[in-house]
Amino acid sequence: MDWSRLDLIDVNLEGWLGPLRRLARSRSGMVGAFIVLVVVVTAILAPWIAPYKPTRLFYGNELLPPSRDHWFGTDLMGRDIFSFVVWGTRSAMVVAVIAVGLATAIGVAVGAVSGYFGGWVDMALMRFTDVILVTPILFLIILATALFVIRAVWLTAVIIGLFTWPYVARIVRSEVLALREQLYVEAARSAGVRDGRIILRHVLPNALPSIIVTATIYVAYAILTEASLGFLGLGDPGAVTWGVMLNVGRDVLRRAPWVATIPGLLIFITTWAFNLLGDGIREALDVKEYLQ
Amino acid sequence: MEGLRSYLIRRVLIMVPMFFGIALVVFLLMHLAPGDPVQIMLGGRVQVTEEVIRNIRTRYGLDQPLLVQYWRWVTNLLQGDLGFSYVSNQPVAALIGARFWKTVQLTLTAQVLAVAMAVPLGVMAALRYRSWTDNLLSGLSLFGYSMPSFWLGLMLVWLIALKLGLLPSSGARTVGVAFAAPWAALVDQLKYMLMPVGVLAFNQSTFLFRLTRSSMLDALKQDYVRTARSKGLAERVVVYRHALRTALLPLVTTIGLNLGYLLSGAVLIETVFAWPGIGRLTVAMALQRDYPTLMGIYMLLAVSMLVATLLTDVLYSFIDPRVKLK
Repeated sequence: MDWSRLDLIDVNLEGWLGPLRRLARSRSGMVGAFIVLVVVVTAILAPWIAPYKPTRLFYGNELLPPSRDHWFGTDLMGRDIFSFVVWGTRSAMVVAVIAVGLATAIGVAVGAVSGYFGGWVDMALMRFTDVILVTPILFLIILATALFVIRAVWLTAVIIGLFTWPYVARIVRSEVLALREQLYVEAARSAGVRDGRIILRHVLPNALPSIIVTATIYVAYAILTEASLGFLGLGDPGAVTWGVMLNVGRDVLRRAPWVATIPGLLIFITTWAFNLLGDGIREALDVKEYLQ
Repeated sequence: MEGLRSYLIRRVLIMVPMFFGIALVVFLLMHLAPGDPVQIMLGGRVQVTEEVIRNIRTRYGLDQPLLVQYWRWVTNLLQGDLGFSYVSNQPVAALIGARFWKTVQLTLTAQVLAVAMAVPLGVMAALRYRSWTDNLLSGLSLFGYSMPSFWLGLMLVWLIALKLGLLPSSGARTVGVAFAAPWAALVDQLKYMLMPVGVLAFNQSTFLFRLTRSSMLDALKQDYVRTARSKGLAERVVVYRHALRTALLPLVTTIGLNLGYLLSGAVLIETVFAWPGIGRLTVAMALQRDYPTLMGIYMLLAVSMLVATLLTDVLYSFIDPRVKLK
């Protein structure tokens, strides 16, 4: 018998059809999926959807209420809010991709190694994640942001990713702890398959549902955190993001409440959609919920 | 009792390496970041001569090896010296002072309110799993969980304070007014607290609701609950005596750990409502790149969190006798 063929025990595509059908039947999951789709399409088509350039200043037309020319009104500098928030969708997606990509990559790697090998490796890695988990994370992110003289959306996203992977690592570790006791892992090990290969081919594919759910919900978290930093004035003030517009809106709340209302509403709806979608996928894939 | 004591000693001992670990992360952040620490301290604001930089270097021991610097910083921390703020030219501890208690006042009130709202509702939703009530409550909680708290705060300020003029929009008390009766001062303070505490508590309760619900659902699935039911015990006894008790255990731990999340929320809420707490100080200092102050605040919060986790564990060991045996 060719033992290397044990690698064939893997995720098959057909196994995903059932969950997809179940997701399609979940009403809240589909609402989330639909809004997410709209957000993603808006981000891609921003230049064609937005009537004006987001940074164009309409002199003498500052703080206009919503009208036919400016659907969502204009801000303190005379920028068209509709165009601004449409382009802001793109920034939000950039943040999501960078922060979630980084946190998931590091979190999965650390969680898998920690859970699979156990022992002192696990001990050391988990104590390190504890250090970050027990402390108020937004303070640490603000601290790191203050270190850099430059301010940029991508940098904020990188910082968010670098400080929040322990959440992902914890969840992946719990999954891997259970999976490594499975018979097929035992079989692969006794057949002499190397540890790295076992993790990549046998353990992680089975932890994938959990990773997908975590990443989806994490998108909501990343967008919310970046917007928070923008609102606090700790993002790039020249960037075209929802948080920046909220920061402007706060100062003119009395005179022009729409400036703060609209970007906040968009952050809210987007976050909500990703949470709904995440929960929908969780139910469809029957993933355990870890609440930390 | 012997078991409990050794358990607690072990818990306290774990805190020591955790403290040094947190301090190391913060310390390395500053030294691994691009740019010179002196420049970071000066925040790139002022143009100074080489000599001044050299002086600062010697004065703060920045010419010493990293390990020596780390050690000096940590030992100072342990003696209660949180560092020196270059921007405001005073010790960080003095700067933090009363602001710390303002934040504690805000967050603890919010936490108590959130627990009082979320736990009963969470239990109710779990008991009526997949019912109309459960779906409504769960839907609302996800909705509220996704709502940016700072945005909700802004909307409330606009509506309640600016439009209707019912509550003050910012601050923690009316300045420059002498209240005749002591209760008048208290009422005044409560007016200022209502909105920030309300928003923070709402945000926190949505999370705690989800937690209580799923923890209660887990407990209801346990074998001993089925056993209790099949013994013919009244449903009320089964739910409250058997299920709720077990469900509350993980809640205690999570509520303790959750204080970090609460503090993060306080940064935003304090900024919205101009609440004179530590979160607002953090934002102000971050905007001015006052790095020593940020490090001091962070270490103080980290230690507070460690103590909170310890207290949670102690509480836990009293509720759950099994812990001592481990």
